[in-house]
Amino acid sequence: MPGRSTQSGVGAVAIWTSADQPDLGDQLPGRVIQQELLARLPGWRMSLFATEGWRRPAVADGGVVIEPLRDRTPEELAAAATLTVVCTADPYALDLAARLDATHPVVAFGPVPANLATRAAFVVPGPNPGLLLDRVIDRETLPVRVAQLRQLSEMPVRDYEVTAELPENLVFEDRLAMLSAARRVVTEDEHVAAACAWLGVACRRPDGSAFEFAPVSVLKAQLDRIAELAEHTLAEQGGDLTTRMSVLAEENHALRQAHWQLRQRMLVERQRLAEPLGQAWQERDDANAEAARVSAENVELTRRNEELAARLAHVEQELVNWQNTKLVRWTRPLRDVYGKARG
Amino acid sequence: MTPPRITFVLVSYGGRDLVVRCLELLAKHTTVPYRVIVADSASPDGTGEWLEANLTGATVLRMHENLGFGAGCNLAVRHADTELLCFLNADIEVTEGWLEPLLAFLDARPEVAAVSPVLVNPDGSVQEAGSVIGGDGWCRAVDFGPLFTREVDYASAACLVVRRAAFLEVGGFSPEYEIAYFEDVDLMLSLRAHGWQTWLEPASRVVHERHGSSSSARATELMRLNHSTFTRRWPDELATRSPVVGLDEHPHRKWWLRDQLAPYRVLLIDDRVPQPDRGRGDGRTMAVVNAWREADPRARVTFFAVSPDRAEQVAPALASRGIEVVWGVDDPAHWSVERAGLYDVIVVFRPHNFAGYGEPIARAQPQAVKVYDAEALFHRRPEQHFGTATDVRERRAWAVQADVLRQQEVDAFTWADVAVCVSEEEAHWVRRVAPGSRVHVACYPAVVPSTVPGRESRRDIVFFGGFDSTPRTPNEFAVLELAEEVLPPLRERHPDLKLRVVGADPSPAVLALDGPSIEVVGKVPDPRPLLESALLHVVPMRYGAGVKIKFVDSMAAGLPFVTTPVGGEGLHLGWTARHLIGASPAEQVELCHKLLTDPVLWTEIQQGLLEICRTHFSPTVFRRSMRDVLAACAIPPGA
Repeated sequence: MPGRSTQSGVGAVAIWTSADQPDLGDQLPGRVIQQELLARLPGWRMSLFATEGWRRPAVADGGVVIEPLRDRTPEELAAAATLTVVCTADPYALDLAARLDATHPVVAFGPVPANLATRAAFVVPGPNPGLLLDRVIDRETLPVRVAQLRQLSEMPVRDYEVTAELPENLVFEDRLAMLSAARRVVTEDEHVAAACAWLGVACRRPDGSAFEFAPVSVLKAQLDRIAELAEHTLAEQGGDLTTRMSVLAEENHALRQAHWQLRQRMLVERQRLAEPLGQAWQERDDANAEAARVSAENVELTRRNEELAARLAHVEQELVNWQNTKLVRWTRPLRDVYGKARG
Repeated sequence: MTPPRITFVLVSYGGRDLVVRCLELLAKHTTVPYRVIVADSASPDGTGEWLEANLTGATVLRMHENLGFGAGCNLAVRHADTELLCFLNADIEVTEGWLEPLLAFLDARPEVAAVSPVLVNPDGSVQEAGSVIGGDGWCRAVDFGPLFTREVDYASAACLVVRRAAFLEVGGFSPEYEIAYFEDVDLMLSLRAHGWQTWLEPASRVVHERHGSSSSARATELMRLNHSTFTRRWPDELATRSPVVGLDEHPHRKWWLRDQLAPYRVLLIDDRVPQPDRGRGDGRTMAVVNAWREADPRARVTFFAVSPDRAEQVAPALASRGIEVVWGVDDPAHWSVERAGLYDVIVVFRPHNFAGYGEPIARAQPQAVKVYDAEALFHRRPEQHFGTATDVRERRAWAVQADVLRQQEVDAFTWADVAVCVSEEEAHWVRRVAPGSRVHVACYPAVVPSTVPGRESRRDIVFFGGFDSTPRTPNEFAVLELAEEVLPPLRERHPDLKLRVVGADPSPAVLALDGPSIEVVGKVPDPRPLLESALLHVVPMRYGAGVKIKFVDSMAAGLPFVTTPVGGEGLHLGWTARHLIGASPAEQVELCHKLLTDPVLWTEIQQGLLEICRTHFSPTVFRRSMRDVLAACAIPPGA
């Protein structure tokens, strides 16, 4: 069994969901809110909760760790988080949320019972969090999933429409992949419609009417408001925002120091590299000069060689010419006899 | 009943007996609840049918054609409902206690997606302690170097525990690959691209028989095809790496590849693997090593022990914390050439290690920032002996030794880019002799508990310090002076007063002190209970340099101490000094007597020392000091 989330963070946000149930509407809001708040509150701990949590594992939960709400008192739950976000319609969770200490801030999503609505810091009416899936799923992985599902014959190879509910025991990511590859989706599920809107897939109700969603900017503004409330609450509770500022300032200073030293180091390394390089370049230039000199000498030697060869050829030609004169040819017998007579 | 946390995923293609054997061993050696899913990849020998009919307690999924390992795993994971998955080859033999370290590791490290055991051959030798991925796209098992917990480039899916959420987040095994090879390498890079890490946990070992289910010609063909897919998919990742082919001709590249992911690599060189329970400055060395380790868990921290002294016993604890421990190196220069260009920072402790190891090792690491960390100024001790010795020849010997050590220390500080001292006094000397070096002060962290025992529950006096089993150490001189010159006059006024001598490896002269009024306790696992039960800590030390850690520990335990001006150096004693520092035995006797008899003064001193400890020697102060040292080495604050 996974342990309770106790890792230290700047603050902690508890997100109550129904993610121990298989539907897209159970899995989607908590994941979106978790990632969006984490982007606004870096360093905070964001824990997902559900009534049964990890005690009711499902293929659909995709292995995300969800802590159980059952067996934990409202006091324990309030103490474990700076702020609680409720995005579930589960009656047990809604009742528990209404019983949290009055000083503990609670933000609820969607329609909630009156007792929780009056007790909550504020209620986020919409639009559906499924419009903001950018931080939850990498779009580039969806075609890969589609290819896998087709390879495993779990999805039509050809163009298709989704007109009925998708199989229950389907991983969250696969559900989105199946929607992403559909030509058209017909559904009454608002979460599916919101996901289709994010995916850019045509989606209608069975009666042909379209879903209307408020602009995403409205949802973003509400998430900003939750983040502000969390920070404000932490500061009010004597949280370490001020300390955190000084720690950040110290870290920033150390970071600048390290960066400066790194630049210095790069300079040193550059110089150490440049020194032998400079020497190598000098040696190369010297070698080039030497090569040029030798080359020039070679040219001169070639020229002299050619000159001597020409002179030799000339002299040899002169000799042949001389040997071919009548005087030399006609006197050869006489000279031969004379030579023999001299013995 | 608690539902299982982990699902074991096996993909079969024939090899029925191997699957059965693997599951039998799994049942025998796995103590936590689990599920098993076997995906049969259309085995031609009827393995699928047989498993479906006979395997109880497992889900068997049968594919209609052989789609391979990746697809089989993807199919099985779609039927898993647990937090964790474990991909397991049928030729893996798990061993006793194999799973617990892997689960504990993932519980402690939420940023880690996957963790692997060490794969060993049937003869017990290391087959694969993670692998490296080369720039040519080929991989090589790490079967070299010490084993320690670390992030790995790639760990084989032959036995790999993965978070299901992470696996699904990255899209699982890519369907672009042929039936086997490289799909798990691709998964590791996908996990990393999504911000996850993969680690090796050597506390877990499994045997890998390596029974392939494809012929070698078919395996080569598959490997060639999938290698091509892999290099096409990850060109940027591979672009900056050294190739694996030809690695043996360029041994330094092995280490480059092994440590490729570390944000920085630091080498720390000291006498021995630190044994803080034995004194000799090891406690501070350990604190410095810890600071480097904690600054970033992904950094490579290598500890080079000059001596193998108890390394076999002590190193595993460091290795489990991700510290690579090296010892038994005869040729440090050659060792460094084997790892040429690897380290970002080299830290050397103690002057003799600078001359014998730091300098030769640094020659093959010209890129490294050089740090000389002076736990103490070693030349000061022979200088002190020179001041007290009476024999001319002895004085000359001390003077020569002091000169040699002073020159070594000047050389070390001049060599270093960054110098670390334990006190401002010593830092001042360093700034004078090595003006080019950036000098920092980082002493020692001591945790002050929220409450410490008051005077009422304490009795007697204590001496705390290691003796190294050798005569004429500073602590031996000190305890002998205490026993011979301080204790007797003190016992005249306090006849029932007893002395306990606490410290590792007492020398024969110290052991000889044991008697009715002196108890030689020797080494204790944790000195704090003894320090918290004593009324006074007395150490009349004449020789020593740097901040004496024993007094910092004493402060943290709320135990007032009496010592000499040498002992009190660097402790920021302020107004308490006049009650704690005595130059002669007679002065020390008077100070002890006053503290033993004046409860108000004792309590004021205790509170004063606790405050000094919190202000100057707290873990926070030490952490800040070390952060500045790291920043001076161009290492940014860690994650």
